[in-house]
Amino acid sequence: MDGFVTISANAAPDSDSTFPYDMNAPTLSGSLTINHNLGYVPLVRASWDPGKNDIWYNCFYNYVVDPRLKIIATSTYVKLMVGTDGAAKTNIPVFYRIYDTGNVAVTSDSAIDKIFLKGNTSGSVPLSGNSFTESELILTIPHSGGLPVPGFSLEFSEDQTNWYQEGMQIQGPWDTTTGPPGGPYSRFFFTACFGRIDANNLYIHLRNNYATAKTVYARYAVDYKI
Amino acid sequence: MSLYDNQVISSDLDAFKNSGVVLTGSIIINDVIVAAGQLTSEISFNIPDGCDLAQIMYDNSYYHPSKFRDITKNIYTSLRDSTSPGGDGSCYLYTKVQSNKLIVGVWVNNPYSSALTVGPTTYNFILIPYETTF
Repeated sequence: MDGFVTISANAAPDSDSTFPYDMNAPTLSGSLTINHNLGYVPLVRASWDPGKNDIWYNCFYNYVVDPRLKIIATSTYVKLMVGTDGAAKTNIPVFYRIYDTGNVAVTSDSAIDKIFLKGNTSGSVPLSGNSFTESELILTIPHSGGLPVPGFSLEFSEDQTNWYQEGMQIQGPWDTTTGPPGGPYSRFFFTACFGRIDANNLYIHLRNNYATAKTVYARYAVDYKI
Repeated sequence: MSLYDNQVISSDLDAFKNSGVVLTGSIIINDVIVAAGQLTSEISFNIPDGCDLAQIMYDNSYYHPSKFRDITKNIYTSLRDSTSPGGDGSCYLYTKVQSNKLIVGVWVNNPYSSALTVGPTTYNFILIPYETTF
């Protein structure tokens, strides 16, 4: 099952959206529960449009967008939770799709999530002034998928061997200037990535906090939501 | 709702070469981390060649058992510190795809100048690898 819904983040968070159950617990939140009753935890894809402007995100990365979407999946329901740290946010668009993980033969003509574009790309992320600051390179991938805005999958890598999902950080060494000799240190170097998509382009945000420029690789697939 | 509401999946993402197997695994953190040290614990899954993406969810045995969260929306999660009630910490979750292997890991940092006891906390993972064929 799937759907385009709107959720408002305008009330005190419930227990699923409070710290330490949610490490990014918001100040205000709202939720929607979808009962699927499959009897097992299903695959769930969910994305949201925080600005209500047809720019969609899949992952939460370091508070760069607000409000944010979290999901919980159990053997009987999926819960979509929108949270904000600012003023109340109303009617935030959310797309979700809950999959019955059956064994189904696939032909591209009959498939949903129809992938129409995939590829690899890379770029040199500029150096950062210090480990507390992230520098960013944005790669734009035209797709012209139109409306409704397609979905996407995104991974990134420093070496084209180990691929990490968007929203994560590839952790590097400690910044030894952030603590006494031998540690403990308060910051480490890292590379990160997240994506967003609109009707015309996929935008791949590559980030790091290294003192030198760094080449980062990304691979992506863009698929129609319906 | 879309045209495909309530239909069993017929998705490009359901391109499992091994007939839709959902992978599961667990990582248990129950350790002592030396001062200014780090702890990494990983589990590895063999996946079909060509799988280049994965959907991964996890629960936390202490804070949200049986309530699975999407790892890309929750890369940090709580970690029990049974020796200091109220002083629970956190850990970072990550995944790596390497050719025919999918690795899920937990990374814990001890920022203090003394040893730190962490856990016990179990993280149960549900993984669905897929390949982006089209």
